Amino acid sequence: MRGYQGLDADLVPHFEMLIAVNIRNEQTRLFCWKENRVVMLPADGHATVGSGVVQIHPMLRDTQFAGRCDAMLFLGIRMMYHAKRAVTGVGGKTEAIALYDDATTQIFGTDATQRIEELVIDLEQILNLSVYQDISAVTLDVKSLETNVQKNLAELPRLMQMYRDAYSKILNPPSVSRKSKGRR
Amino acid sequence: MTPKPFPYSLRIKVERLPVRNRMTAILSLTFIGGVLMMADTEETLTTDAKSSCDKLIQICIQVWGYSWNRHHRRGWALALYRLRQSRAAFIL
Repeated sequence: MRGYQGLDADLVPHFEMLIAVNIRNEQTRLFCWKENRVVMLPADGHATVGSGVVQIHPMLRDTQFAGRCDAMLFLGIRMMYHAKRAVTGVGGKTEAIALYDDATTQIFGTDATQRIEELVIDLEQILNLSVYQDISAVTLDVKSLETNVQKNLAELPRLMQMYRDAYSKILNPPSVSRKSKGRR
Repeated sequence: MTPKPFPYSLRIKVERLPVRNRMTAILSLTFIGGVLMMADTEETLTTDAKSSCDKLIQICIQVWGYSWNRHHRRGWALALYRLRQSRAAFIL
């Protein structure tokens, strides 16, 4: 940064970083570095940088809570999927790393995240094509509509359980995700 | 035999290197017991080409600082970070 001192603002590279720092194996805090300013984010806050901010930020506003790691991974991959769909230049697979409070890291391979993303896509298609349709089908102008809606809603718990099982199969194999040992 | 002229001018045109915009989306979510960081893996090479790269980097650095317990004075910090440079020509 010192090499750009005194230069015009247009000539200075634009910096944006997200830094996760583990402090004495007790807690992990998140820092956001933009330009020449570093800000420590709240303990339960989420953040995003880059050109995908436009797409991800509204979804982060809807996710103002901190859940379990597997739940946040699912939500985060869904957000990344929508960002990759909408923003030019953002694409490819999604890589994910978890940094725990005890200074251990868990690296989720891109194959696992790709399978989770496919699961997310499938779930969203089911929601759009089936669930939302069934909930909004209140104008009963067809005789068999009510019967079909009741049948579909009765199948919903089993369907959701299938998605949960599929997600569990993706995350549980030890060969897919590995947790580091001794990196403290 | 008469020499033929070159099909292009030999005079080098001096111009600024083309700006390469690095488009990326990096997301950090806090969960109970840690921080989860995610990023896409697409890297724009030119206007016509793209590749894949790792945008999450894990480094382990030693931090010296004040501590009430002298046995804990030497701590370790682990950081995941991403550097985004919209004008990479100055760095390269």
